[in-house]
Amino acid sequence: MNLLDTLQITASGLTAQRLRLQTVASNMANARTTRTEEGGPYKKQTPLLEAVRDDPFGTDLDRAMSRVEVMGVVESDDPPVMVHDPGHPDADADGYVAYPNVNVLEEMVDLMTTARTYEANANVLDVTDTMATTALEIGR
Amino acid sequence: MIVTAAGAPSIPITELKRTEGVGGTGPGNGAAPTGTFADKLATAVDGVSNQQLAADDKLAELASGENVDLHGTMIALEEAEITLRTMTAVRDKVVGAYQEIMNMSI
Repeated sequence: MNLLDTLQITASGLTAQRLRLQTVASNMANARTTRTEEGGPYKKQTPLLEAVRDDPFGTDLDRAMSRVEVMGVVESDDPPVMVHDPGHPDADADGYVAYPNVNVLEEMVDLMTTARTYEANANVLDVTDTMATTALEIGR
Repeated sequence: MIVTAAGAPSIPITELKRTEGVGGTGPGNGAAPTGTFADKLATAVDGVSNQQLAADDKLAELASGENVDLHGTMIALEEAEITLRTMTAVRDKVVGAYQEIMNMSI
């Protein structure tokens, strides 16, 4: 386990948060989308993060460290939001339109936690750099 | 990545040739055991060079729009910088030791 491995772990964290940001962007953009290729309204997407052993064959200490990986994106099974709007082209027989099960407020909160987590990972990167600099100044 | 001072002609770090003779191929040293200091140094310099090349590739991909992995590129640059600084620190120590010996009064 050296400083460069730390950089790789941090990189995986940054990548995971960027993919999370993409799902938030997708959910936000499609918050009012009533049509999809599969039919029906858009469904809220949530990324599935998994801890992956950084070095499964290393020392005990190496095996204890994990990177994070996005294993997939799952669709929410929550029911769509039904809104009475008989004039809408996608309205059903009773005049109800199925809107996505995306809650824009929840997405905003997700957006904020994503940004903060990304920042936190970037700070780890800065500290790694500072530690490397300190180590290189030993004995100067 | 090409290391260059402003205005100075840039020399890709891959073109730096490894030095010979620091315990390598000199007389009386024919059967030099593997893992001499010179070999280790050469391996380390190769490692630094590879990091620079990896960072260079990432930068080229980013510039050409093939890959827009911003933090991946920055991390590759960071790795290249840390390894280069480590190499510089080792160089300073080696030069220091050499000068120490050269200045020794006999």
